[in-house]
Formats: sequence, structure tokens, C-alpha cells
Amino acid sequence: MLQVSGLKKQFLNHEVVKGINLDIKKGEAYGLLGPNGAGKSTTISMICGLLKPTEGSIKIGEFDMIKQPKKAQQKLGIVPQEIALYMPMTAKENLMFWGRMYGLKGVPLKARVDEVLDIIGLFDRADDKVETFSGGMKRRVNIGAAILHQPELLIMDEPTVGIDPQSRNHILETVKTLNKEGMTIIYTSHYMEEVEYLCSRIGIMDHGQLLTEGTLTELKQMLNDGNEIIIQLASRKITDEELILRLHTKMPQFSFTIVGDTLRTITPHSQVILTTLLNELTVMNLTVTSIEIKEANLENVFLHLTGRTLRD
Amino acid sequence: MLAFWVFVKDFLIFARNKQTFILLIAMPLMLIAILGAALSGLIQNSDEEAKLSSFNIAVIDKDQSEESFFFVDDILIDRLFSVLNVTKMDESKLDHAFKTEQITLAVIIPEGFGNAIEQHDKPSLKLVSQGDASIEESIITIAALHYQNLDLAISKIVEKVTRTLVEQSKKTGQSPEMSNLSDVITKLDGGANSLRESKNEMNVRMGSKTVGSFQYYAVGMGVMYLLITVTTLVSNILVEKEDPVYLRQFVSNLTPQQYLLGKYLSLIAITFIQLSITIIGTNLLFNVDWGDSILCILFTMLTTTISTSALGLFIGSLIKKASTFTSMSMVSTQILAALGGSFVPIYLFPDWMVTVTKVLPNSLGLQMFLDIMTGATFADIWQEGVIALVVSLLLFAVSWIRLSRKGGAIHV
Repeated sequence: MLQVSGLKKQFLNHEVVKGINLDIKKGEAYGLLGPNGAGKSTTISMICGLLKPTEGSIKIGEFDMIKQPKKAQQKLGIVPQEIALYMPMTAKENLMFWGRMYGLKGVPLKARVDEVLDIIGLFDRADDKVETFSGGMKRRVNIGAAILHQPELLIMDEPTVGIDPQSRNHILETVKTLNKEGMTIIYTSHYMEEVEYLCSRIGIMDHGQLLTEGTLTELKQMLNDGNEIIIQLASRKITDEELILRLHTKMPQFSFTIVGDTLRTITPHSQVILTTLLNELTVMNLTVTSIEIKEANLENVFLHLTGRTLRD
Repeated sequence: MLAFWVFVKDFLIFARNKQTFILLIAMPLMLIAILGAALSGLIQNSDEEAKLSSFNIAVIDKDQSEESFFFVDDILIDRLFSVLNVTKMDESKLDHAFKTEQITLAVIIPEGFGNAIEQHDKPSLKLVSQGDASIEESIITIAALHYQNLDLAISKIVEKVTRTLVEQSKKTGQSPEMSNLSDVITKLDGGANSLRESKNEMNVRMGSKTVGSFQYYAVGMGVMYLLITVTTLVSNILVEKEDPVYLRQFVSNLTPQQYLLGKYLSLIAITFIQLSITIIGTNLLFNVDWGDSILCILFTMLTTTISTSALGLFIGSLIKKASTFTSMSMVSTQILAALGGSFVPIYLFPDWMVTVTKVLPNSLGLQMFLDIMTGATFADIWQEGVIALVVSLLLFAVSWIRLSRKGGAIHV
């Protein structure tokens, strides 16, 4: 459905995207993860035809985005990160407008608008101005405008930022349903659990490069199916750097991170390491207030690959 | 077709924004009403003063040549009898004539006047005035230039030009700016070309109606508000350019060119409505006579809105950010309005400025409206309308090319 090859984008002397390759199959839900500045939005802008690549090719279905942009764009729907709607217009008027922009007209347009209003759960508020909607409702209309023309590929850039849990759940369910119906999805988000829930394959981007991609299971295997140990410490005199250095000296095969009073490490042998770790902390006269062991997630994979968290 | 839906959407948003709607539709009427009421006394007086049918002048002929006799008898007395009461007198009686206010201006024909004419040289006259006699000075200046050319066809024009000058002073309540004697002499020395240019510039019709000060004021304000409306709408376009909806449009089937056309249509429609309300409103509320020809008025409205909208679109295409445009727009609108004759009549400007304003959409619109008010027919105004349309086409084409060069369908 989408083939991206050697995609590069350079602004003046700064290369923002450094040769991305993507091959997304029809009906797939692909999650694209990366912190701010990783190059996700630039990549998406190029895939949508809004930004001309410095190098590389983009193919959507049988159409080349650079050579036949309008034909390629007809196959995709974009849900931008920001609300891209006309606030003084009603939900229905907005959808009618965007439907017309995609070539729908007459009775089929009206029918499709009603259908989409139903999908996004705003049929009852169809004649209310978008400016009177909550953030979540606006985001739902934002999605509605992207799926009116029943695109084969739906690109969603952080579609759930800053909304209430109810709207978030509604959006996730809508996306899940659309994917089940055969729509190919590219989903970018800061929320790991959303990507884990929706996506069959995940790519991790940082510094303009695709660091790795695979299914959730494949990515977790990079951590040797390890668990995360989370230890809460009481106030201490020893500095973070000193603490990490002493732990690393005693257990050089592990990497530790400390944020505030929370110490973390990932290991496939959590029970064994936990005993050693607690002994060391006791030797250093540190008080442990709580211990948690949980299965490693995408955040841990990301941390493992980049050395920083997604929200850094 | 997509351009049409962009236009419909823009119009809907405009109509729903009460603040903008009131500002752009109701404000021109309110401003004309308030200022019109405040200035009505002044305007009325000016109109009355302008109804003087003739001026009393003296002629002192020191040359006593065949040429000077012809100038005085044939041109000043015979041809300009309707506006000038000419008394031939000696220079010694001049002081008394001024003191007793028998005359407002004296024309002294110096020795050598006839020789200068014979040798196709530039003749000079000396004009002496007491108080403001600028209209009389203007009449004499043009008459002398006419005489210099000795062109019988032109001689008929002079009479009409003279009438036009008086009418223009009636329109504004202001006199042509030639009160300084040295200015007059310089203009006399300007040679025959000046007259030929004047002949070409002035569109004189026999039996034309007078344009009152309030009429001029209504046209001037109406056209100026048209500029303000265009500025506000273009500013809105630039604001939208910074909004996510702008880019979203170009992921759809809409091309940048269709987008531009849609914006242009909405500019034309909104300004046309505003101008209609201004014309109908001032006619109903203040009895402003916009002319008898509905066809001419509609044609002028259309060409003016099309050309001012193209001007706005062109300026908008040069500027990237709405904030930059907004800060510049107030000043540029005032400059354009001033150059276009919304504040002072164009004929008071220096020649080079008059040339520049000939292609300004608002200036063309204003001139066409004034022509219709004086009774112009479609045959009299169509050329100005065509110029406005050609200017629009050029401005729109440049905007179109600028948008295409930014990347066309992709990389908007």
C-alpha cells in the first residue's frame, strides 16, 4: 500500500530525515514512534505530498506521490495533529466541505456525511458549530473529515493529544474498526499503549532515522523478553551519578536509570538480580520504599534503543 | 467547481462573523452618515460658492499686436464670455479696480508677446491677483496655452476644459492649486505638450451634470472602504495560511490554483455586496445620486471590485505572514486611498502621480463613478473599465505564477 524508499529531507544544511525506508502492506496498522524532533511529522508531510523530498521515492498504491500527487492523495486520508476544521461552521458543514474537496457530491455525499457522523458518534450534534465542541469532539470531527472519501490509507498524526478518556476510547475503537474493515493505518503517538493496542507493526524513529521496526513481540525480544524492575528510594545523600556508577561497578552487565527517586533496570532474570541489587542498596545505606516488577513495554524498547524516553 | 465551494465556505464564514460583517458592511454607511452630517454645512457652503457663473478680470495689453488683440478679443472675450467678464484697462487704473473689488485678477500682456507667438516660442503672461483667484488663473493659463498652439480644434476644447475646471471646483469646494503666480508662469512656459496632454486626459461632455461635494465624498469613502474590506479579507486569507486547514486542503483534490480562484471569487462577492449596500444606502439615506445608468453603475461596481480584489490578492501573494500584512495594510490602504483620490481630487496631484494613479484600481473606480454621476454613458466609461479588468488580469496572473513557483500541487 505504501512504499517509501531512501526518503531524505534537508532544510538548509540540516538533514531532518536521513534515508527512511518503509513498506506497509494493505490492511496493516503501522505505528510510528519517536520523540519530538525525531522527524515523524516531516516524514508524514512528505508521504502526504505536502513537502517535496530532497531524495527518495514515495508510492501509494500504484501512484508515485512526486509524479502524480493528486492521484496518490486521493488514496489517502490525513488526520493532522492539530484540529484542521472551520470553527464557525457546523460539524455537518465541515464534513460536507471536506467531502466536496475529495470529489464527493449530491446524494452520495449527504449519505456519506450522515454515515461518518454516525461513525464518529456525533450524529446528534451535526448541526452544532465546531467551536462549541469539546477537544475530544473536535478531534472526532477531525478524523471524520479524513475518512469521508473512504481512503485506502489513513495517516493519523497524534490524534488523541489532549482529550478526555471517553473521546480517546471512542477514537481508538473507531480506528480499530476501520482497520478491521480493511483500511491501512499509519498511527503516530506518544502514547505507547495506544500503539500497542492498535498496531500490528511498529517503527521507532529518532534523529531522522528509522532505528528499528517489527511486531510488538519482535521488539520486546530485543530486551530478551526481560522485565522492568522499578525501585522507589527514600531521600538520600548520594548523588544520582554516584549511585549509578557504584551499581554499574558491582553489576556491569546491567544498565540503570534514575529519575527523581525512581531507579529502573531491565533484565530477563529479575528475581536473581533483585536480591543482589537490594543488598547493594543496603550497603549504601539507602532506604527502599517500594519495589515493582513488570513486563517490559515499548517505552523500555525505546529507552533501550535511544537512551531516552519518548517524552524527552 | 472546487473553487466555487471554497468561495461558498469563505462566504459562510464571513457572514457568520458578526464583528467583521458589521465592520465591513455597516461601517461605511455609518461613517458616511456621521461625517456627512458633521460636514454638511461646510459642504453646502462650498457648493453655493461654486455656483458663481463668471469672474471679473482686467486685461492690460502692453504689446498691442495682432496676436495680443486676437488673444483678448477672440479667446478671452468671445469664447470665454460665459465665465469671464473682461475689462480692458490701463495699468494706472489697476490699483483702483482691485481696491473697489471690480476685478479679482489682472492679465498683463507684456511687450514681445506677439513676436513670441510668431516665432513659435513660449510666450509669457503676467497675472496679478488679489486674494484667492486661483480658478481665474487656471482659466487664463489654459487659454494662453491654447492660443500658443493656434489650433482651432483645441480652441473648442479650451472652453470645455474651462467649464470642467469650474465643475471640479464645485465638486470639492476647493480651488485648483495654482495660487502662486510663479507657478502659473512656469505652467505657461511648459509649452504646447502640456495642453495636448490635458486635452487627452479630460473627458469633457457637453451638458454634463455637476457632481456635488457630498457625492464625491460618498464615492471616495465607498472606494476607500472597498480597499479596507479587501485588506481585511486578504489578512484573513493569510491567517488561514498559518492554520492547519490550509495544508489539509492541498491533501485533497483541491489545487493551489483552484484555491486562489476560490479566494478571489469570495473577495469579489463580498466587496460587491459591500459596495451595493454603500450605493443603495447612501442613495436612500442621503439622496446621493450615483447616476442614471444602472448598467454603467453595475459595470463600474463589477470592474472596481474585480480589480481591487486582484490588487489585494497580489499584495497578499507577496507577503507570507498575516502579522506582517496587518501591520502594513493600514498604511498602504491609506496611501492607496489617497493616491486613488478618496481624500483629494486626483487632478490636484503632480503629473507623475496622475500617471501612476491611472492604473490604480481604486482610482479607476472612483473616476468611473464620478463620470457616471456627471451623466456619462457606457461609451464614455468602458475604456476605463477595460483598463481595470486588464490590470486585474495581470495582478491575478502574477499571484497565480507566484503560487505555482512555490511548488504547485505539492510543496504548497
